[in-house]
Amino acid sequence: MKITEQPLSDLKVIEYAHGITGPFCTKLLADLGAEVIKVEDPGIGDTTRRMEPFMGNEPHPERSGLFLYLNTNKLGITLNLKSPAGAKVFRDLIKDADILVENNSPGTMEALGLGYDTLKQINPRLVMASITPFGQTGPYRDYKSCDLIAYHIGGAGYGTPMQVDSLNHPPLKAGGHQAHFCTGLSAAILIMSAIFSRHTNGEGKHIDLSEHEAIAFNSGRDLATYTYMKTVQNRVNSGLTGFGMHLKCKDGSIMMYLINDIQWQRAVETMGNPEWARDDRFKDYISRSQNWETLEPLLEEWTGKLTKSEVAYIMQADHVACSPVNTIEEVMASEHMVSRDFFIDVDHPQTGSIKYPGPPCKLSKNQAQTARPAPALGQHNEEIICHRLGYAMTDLLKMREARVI
Amino acid sequence: MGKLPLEGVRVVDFTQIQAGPQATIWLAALGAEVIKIESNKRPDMLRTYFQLQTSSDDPSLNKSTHFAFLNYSKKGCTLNLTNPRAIEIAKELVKVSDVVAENFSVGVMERLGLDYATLQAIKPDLIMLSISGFGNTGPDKDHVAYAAMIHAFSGLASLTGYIGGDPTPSMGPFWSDKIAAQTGAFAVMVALHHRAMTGEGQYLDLSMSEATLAVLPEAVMDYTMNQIIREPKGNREDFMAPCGCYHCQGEDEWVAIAVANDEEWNALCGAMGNPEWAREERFSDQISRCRNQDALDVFIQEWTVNRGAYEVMEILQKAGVAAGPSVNVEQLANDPHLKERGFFVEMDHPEMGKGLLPRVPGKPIPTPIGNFHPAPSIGQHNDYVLRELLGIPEDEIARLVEDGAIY
Repeated sequence: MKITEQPLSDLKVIEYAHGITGPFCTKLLADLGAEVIKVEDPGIGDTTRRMEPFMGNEPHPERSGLFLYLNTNKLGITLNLKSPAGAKVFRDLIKDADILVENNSPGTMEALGLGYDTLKQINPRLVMASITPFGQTGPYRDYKSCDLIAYHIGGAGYGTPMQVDSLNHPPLKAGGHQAHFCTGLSAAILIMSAIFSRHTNGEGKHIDLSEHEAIAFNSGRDLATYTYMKTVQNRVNSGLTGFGMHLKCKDGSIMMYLINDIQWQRAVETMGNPEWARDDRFKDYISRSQNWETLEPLLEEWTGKLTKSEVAYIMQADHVACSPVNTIEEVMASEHMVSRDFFIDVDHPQTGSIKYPGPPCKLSKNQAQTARPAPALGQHNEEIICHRLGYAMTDLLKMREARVI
Repeated sequence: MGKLPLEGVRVVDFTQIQAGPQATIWLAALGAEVIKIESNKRPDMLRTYFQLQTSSDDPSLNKSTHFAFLNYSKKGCTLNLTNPRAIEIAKELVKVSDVVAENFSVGVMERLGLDYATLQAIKPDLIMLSISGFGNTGPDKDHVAYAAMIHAFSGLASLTGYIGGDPTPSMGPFWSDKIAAQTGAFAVMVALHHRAMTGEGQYLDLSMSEATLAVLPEAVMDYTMNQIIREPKGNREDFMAPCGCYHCQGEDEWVAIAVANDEEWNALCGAMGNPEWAREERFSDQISRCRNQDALDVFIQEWTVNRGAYEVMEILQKAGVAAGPSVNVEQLANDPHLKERGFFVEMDHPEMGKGLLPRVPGKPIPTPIGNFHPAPSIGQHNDYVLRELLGIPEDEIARLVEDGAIY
């Protein structure tokens, strides 16, 4: 038995990926102790180096907050895989790697001579994940995508927002890059399942992950309702207003969720049992939904006199599900999040020490206290290529001259 | 058929409703034996929602469509956890299992005598996943939470919405449930690997709020680096123009289109037949297009509104422009690409009949994927769990039923 400081300390990961899906997947592994070597194209590097937000709003390849977050705890090298020397170094890295994560267009790795069939000859235990918008097969395999399109074609956007008054309001994607992050998480699950099964069968595996499927899987409940009832929910007919209530307060709004009549009764009592609450028009969630236009101002008469935080704490004291609608500033400042130590300080030469979102789940056996900042482009070329793989310094210089690195 | 990745792993699943079952469905579909614990006294609440009306019209806890998805490939056992004998049986089950999953309010497992410290004493290498809205510590730990409130609390709602409009806590896919579920499934697999390497179990404290904030780094980092508080951007993405969801032919048909650079812009113009307006100075480069996006959107929609959403996707993708319909669940269920990839699996449910449900995403090659059988009827696998697995004699089982422990 081996005592390890972090749950994944024994795993070696190679990442040849850009953007969010692949790098988020390997960040999840790196933050739990896996050694991740990030391979970037010389000169330009990962696309997120050119994505907002930038420290001080100044575009710079080492100052993108998105890149810095996605690449904590990784080592970074540059390699031109189109050159034979670059491809050879890559194959050397694969020899003792456990995991390869790539998210290039279908056929790219094969064209580089680095497809799974080739790599498994070098390392039969390799778990390789290929993440693409639509997968390696099927009629859409070569289609272009982005977060917006992935979210909508996967079925996540059509029903949002759930409570509009007319279908003229277009379907809406979630803020940020939710489709990409969800896909990165799916990849991490599938990779760890393959690593786990490798303990018993010793075999590697190639995972063909389609972002399209990753998003569509999250509509599983609605797919089940469709297959059995043929009903289709849209942005106006969800009936959610009967229990999901978004209400204005003095300084913003709250979200209250009254999943049954008991919760409704509790909420009404907390508001001091106003006369109107006994009205037949509000007797169950269907009637509350149908008479929402009458009900909303009555509720807001009460919530509007209080701050969103006051409403939430008064309701929660009576076990009514209610939360303030926070900005990022407000959630970061909330006493609860501060007490959980969720946000972590990461010190980077270009930004100084600033707060990043911390681990998405607290694992009792993850003892890591600090995070290493994201690598500068090619920062670990010498450490990996010379000290690890045994190339001479003169080889490194030649590679640099030939723009292999 | 090859072996599934998690074959041999047994999960005692106390989770209910959405975030928990959505986590354990990954484990079940990847081959783990997931035993769902509920009772007729306290069935998974989801069983009472979205119930299929069948000809018999009997009220049944076994006809919820949502339950049918979230619990396929799991086994069902009814233990009435208010009965001390049932708690003993639950502990016996934990002893022969690898993972416990739960998403009760914080403190419930402790009150039941099923907290991690107690369970670890009887099963030292146990892995336990607790999913809650806010985590197991902190002043708000007891707050009641559903996905929409986590969207609100975490800031995700403040970033979702139309430009200049209100924040949007009511997101169709109940996103935070999904993100938390995936995070939980991942954490369990990490812990399984760690256990295989070291022999140690561990406790996984999953806060839905934290799992959600971990996928909001753009907004968090813009705030910590620049003190900028981000607002909803509608369907737009940075540096993309046009970038939106446009009305198509038909009452509620929409297509998403996103253009990243001049090359794609020229391809888009070509596909639209090089209209005169596209040559205007204000649309001449990516920066100008981003600046004049509102005007651009009007022109784009004039073109899409006379075409079907799938037709626009085909025209534009052929030209090399990213485009795709905003699909409703009917279109999703009939999508030719998903079908060709074998994404939908037929399951024959004893009370609901045949239905097509999605497998987990990703095609592990060459191992065939999926451990598919329909969601359990309430108490369907009592005999398997109690008699076969735990070896409780039949007369004893009869007494436990009479006693109300098995209910």
